[in-house]
Amino acid sequence: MIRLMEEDTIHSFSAAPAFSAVWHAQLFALTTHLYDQGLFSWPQWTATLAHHIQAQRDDLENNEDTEDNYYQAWMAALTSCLMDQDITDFRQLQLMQERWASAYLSTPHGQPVRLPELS
Amino acid sequence: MPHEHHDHPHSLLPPEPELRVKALETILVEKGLVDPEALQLIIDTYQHKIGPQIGARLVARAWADARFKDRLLNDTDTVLDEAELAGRQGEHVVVVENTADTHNLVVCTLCSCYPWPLLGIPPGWYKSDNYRRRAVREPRAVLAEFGLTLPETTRIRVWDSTAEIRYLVLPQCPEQATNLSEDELAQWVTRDSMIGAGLPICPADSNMQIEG
Repeated sequence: MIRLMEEDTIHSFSAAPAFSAVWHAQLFALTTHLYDQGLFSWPQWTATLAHHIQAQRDDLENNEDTEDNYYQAWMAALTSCLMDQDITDFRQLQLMQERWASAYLSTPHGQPVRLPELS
Repeated sequence: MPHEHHDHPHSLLPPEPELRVKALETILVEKGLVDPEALQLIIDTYQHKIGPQIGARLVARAWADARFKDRLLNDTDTVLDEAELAGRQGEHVVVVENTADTHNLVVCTLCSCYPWPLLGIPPGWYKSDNYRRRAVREPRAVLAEFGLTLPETTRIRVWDSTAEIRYLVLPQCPEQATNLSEDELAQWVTRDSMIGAGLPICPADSNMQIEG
């Protein structure tokens, strides 16, 4: 069944949220904003996204048909657009992700998490 | 080891993809390529302002006003330009009309192209591999899973969206709804009916479904 993939009311426009996770929304916003800034053309973007969606379908270890996986493919597409233009690389991304992880782990519960300055 | 909620010494670590997106955003902000306020504005817009209610207004108006319907079908880009609903990605919108013998269904087989300015962000099922793969191959079976069983004599046309062309289905106005005002008509139009995965629904019935 297709509809069972999400909690989905048939009619109410307000009931179904546009994004089911914060990071889906952030990825969407980053991508459309970068397009607005002229970083890539829209056909370029959809071709890259289609390529990564297919790559994920072909990855037999992790090709479950979920919305999270769809946005994982979207993330891979955006990352490859940025890497093609030498805007970032895997190492820089990995380091930045680790900085964010340690910021969470060193911030007391309930306080806003901020990225510490590099020492 | 599973964490218990009440004795967290530190903030809960978000899931891996959320950290990855934060990392992407931080790098892009530091390079001056994105503006965090613009990102927030985009999210707010798609969460609160842009959605299927916009497409529903167009459909209701087309039902109520034959001249508008003619323009919406034949001069779509001009109508959308005038209403400031033209796509941000330079795409064209094609409106396909359901008739007594033809039903239209929209899909994007390669990714998830969709008329965002008219319908907002597509639902999860529209982005699923299941729907993308099967809508073209077995539309009748897919529609049946949406609870829409069409007579064998109804022709089903499936439209595959692209970066350049997005589709909006103009459903048939239900007989019980004729003579209603535009505002009332808009209540009958569902998101799914504008993708072709459903039919307009009497507002009283749909309220019951939501409450139930």
